[in-house]
Amino acid sequence: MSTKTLSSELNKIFNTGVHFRQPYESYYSKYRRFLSANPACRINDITGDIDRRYLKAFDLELIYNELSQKEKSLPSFEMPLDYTNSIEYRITKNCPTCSSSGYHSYLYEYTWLTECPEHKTKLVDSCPSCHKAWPTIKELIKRDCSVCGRHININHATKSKCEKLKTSTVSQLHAFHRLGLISKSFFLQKHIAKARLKSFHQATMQDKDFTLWASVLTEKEKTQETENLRLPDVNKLVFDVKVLANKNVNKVDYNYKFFRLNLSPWQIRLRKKVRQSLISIINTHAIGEHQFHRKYFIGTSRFCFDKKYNPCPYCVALNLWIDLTRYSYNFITLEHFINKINRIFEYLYHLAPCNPSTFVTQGSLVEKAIISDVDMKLDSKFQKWIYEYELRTFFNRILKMAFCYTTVDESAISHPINCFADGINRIERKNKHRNFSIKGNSVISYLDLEKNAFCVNGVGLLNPNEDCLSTLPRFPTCLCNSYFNKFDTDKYYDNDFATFIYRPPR
Amino acid sequence: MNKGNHPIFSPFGFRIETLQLLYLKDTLKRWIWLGATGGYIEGLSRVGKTTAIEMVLNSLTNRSGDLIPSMMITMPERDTKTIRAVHINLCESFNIAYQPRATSDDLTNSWCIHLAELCLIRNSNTFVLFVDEMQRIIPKQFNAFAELHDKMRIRGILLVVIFLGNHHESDRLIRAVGTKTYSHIQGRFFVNNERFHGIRKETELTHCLRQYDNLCYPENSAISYTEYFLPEDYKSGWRLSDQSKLLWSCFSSIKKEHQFESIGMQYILATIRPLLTDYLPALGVERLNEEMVLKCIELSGLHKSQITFVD
Repeated sequence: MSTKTLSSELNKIFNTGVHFRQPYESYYSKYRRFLSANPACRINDITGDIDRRYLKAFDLELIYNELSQKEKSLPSFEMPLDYTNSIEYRITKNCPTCSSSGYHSYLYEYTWLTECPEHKTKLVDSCPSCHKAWPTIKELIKRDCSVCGRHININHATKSKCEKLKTSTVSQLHAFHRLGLISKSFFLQKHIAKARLKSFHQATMQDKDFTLWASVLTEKEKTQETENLRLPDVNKLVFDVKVLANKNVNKVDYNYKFFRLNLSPWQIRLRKKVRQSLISIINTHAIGEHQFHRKYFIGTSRFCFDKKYNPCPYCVALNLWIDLTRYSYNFITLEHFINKINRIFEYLYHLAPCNPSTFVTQGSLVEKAIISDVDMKLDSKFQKWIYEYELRTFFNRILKMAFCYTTVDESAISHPINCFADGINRIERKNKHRNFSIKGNSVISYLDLEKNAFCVNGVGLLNPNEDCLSTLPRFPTCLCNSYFNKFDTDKYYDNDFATFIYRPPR
Repeated sequence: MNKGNHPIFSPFGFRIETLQLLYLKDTLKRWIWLGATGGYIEGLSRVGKTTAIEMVLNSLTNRSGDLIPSMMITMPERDTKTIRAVHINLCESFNIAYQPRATSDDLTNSWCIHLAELCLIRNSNTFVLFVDEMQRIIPKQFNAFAELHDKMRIRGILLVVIFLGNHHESDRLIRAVGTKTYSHIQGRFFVNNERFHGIRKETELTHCLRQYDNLCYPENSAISYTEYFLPEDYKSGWRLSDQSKLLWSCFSSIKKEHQFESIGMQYILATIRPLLTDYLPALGVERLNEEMVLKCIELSGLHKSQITFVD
């Protein structure tokens, strides 16, 4: 299907203003250079409608197609933000020198970016020449200003400006771009704004995995006083923590950044302990004859079950738990990997325990908060406790999900479903299994953000405990002796391809 | 197969490479490679200047062998001859969107930006603009091209403007431009000039006729134009190019009689067309004689042409 462009619609040739193009330009910048490159046109020419005097979203789409069609042979740097695709959108900040040459970067919209990386001038919210706010695309057409108006000064925009940009500037823009993506995901724009831009650059440039920028941020955080801490009960432990952010934080998003860091020796030991405990639980309590079957999920291109069989939820959950708590993927790899698997797997991936020194609390226990301990000087007891807590809670979550998406009774066997397959064809669990629930004890009882303190109720009560798991339903009609059948091959992950199949007894 | 579809009957599609065309191509290449900002080509009317430029248009290269973007526009005859008319004509020729009430500044900017974008996309720093029918321009309109040249220079692009005009009709214009008032025009566009001729010698005619024996139709077949209309004779070894002596003697006699400087390509093609497609297939190649050729020349309209005489 061919794309509609202005040229095809109106049978006229429009200039694109490719001369003014620069890396990381915004939609706004694109439209401005388009308008500037066609000075002999009025809105009527662009819209093709004599009565219309204003651009509409549809016209912008045509303009964008026009630009894309003509510039597809050229290397593209632009990465527009969606929200600038509006006729009424007003940019918040811009560099006056950049504006003179028709440039505006979507990176300038980030609150934490206050200085133009190329001209080292302050990003301002109004035009220093006409003293008006930066115009919207709609206002651009009528704005007659050499800095912010429709017409771009050709002397400022040379043919090969893109090529002339310093390598360091482009790198910096690239770093901003990546940082912007992450900060947007984590809702941390305000915190990044607190960081000094210079040190922020360095951290970002040095560490491509962005492990350092949090350090930079937390350097700015003052050590909170822990005096006058209220201790409700003797049985409660109090841990000193640093709160990095305390609202609008989503662990799923946050784990994008800190997901799967290298485990320290004590973490490996602790994880091994929890793993043995969980294997023991499901072998002992889940089904009488049950034997845990280990198979890799990571690296498999498919994560669904054969329609003919039902999976064993315990094996699914524990296998997932082992993989997701051990394997490490950096942000890019993870992003690539996620494209290959279903959304549930992706969701679980993000729920996995992240670095216990920097984590997000979940649920109703404490409203979402990021706890930061970058200096690793916190109470080691707290770290171990919180890590084990996370590990076990994570297993609970997976298991709960496995039960939600699987049917294990006889009637369900005759109506097989795709488990973990994008949430389609989900069947309500039967009454028989509705008894199952994760009855975790709310061990984190109190978080004092002002005092930066956690109060933990009942030391050693980790969730779920064995008692909790022992109440799980049993499946007497099922034998978990052949869960894993290799029924298909995959050209990429031939050796690792696995499927969880539960074969009902014959 | 419908013979009417043969390219020889196509009013504008049938083009033959002449020795003069090859020479013109070399000249243009020399100008561009030496960094000329312009030039003009003059010749008698109907000798094939426009066709020659059309054939050259997409084959000009720089020293690196990369294609140079080029375009030809035709100046229209208008009662009111203004600089703005040139700008509008440029936008019209390139099909650039413009508003009728747009100012000259906007028109030139639109056109210059368009040209610059073409050069950027084709990775060239030179653009060649051919302006046909130069005799329809008045001297002050050259300022429009000078302005475009300057504006393109700001953008780092060399705009080479080459004018094409009829020999005698352009004389007065060239003389006017040669005065001190238009020295900036003279220096930009009228330093280099070249004369374009039609067919003047038998060898040139032979070169043209040989192409009837070599060009093939249908495409990708081995059937030459001559073979297409005279298959039996072609197989027996008859070639049109071998008849160049007879043909040239006829052309030469008329050329001498009417004191033509050269024979325009239009008349050459118009003579060969009935000869090859009607007379020879009907009467046989063995009956080809001077009378038959003269009749074809008469049909071509050469006698009545307005070709000017040599001064």
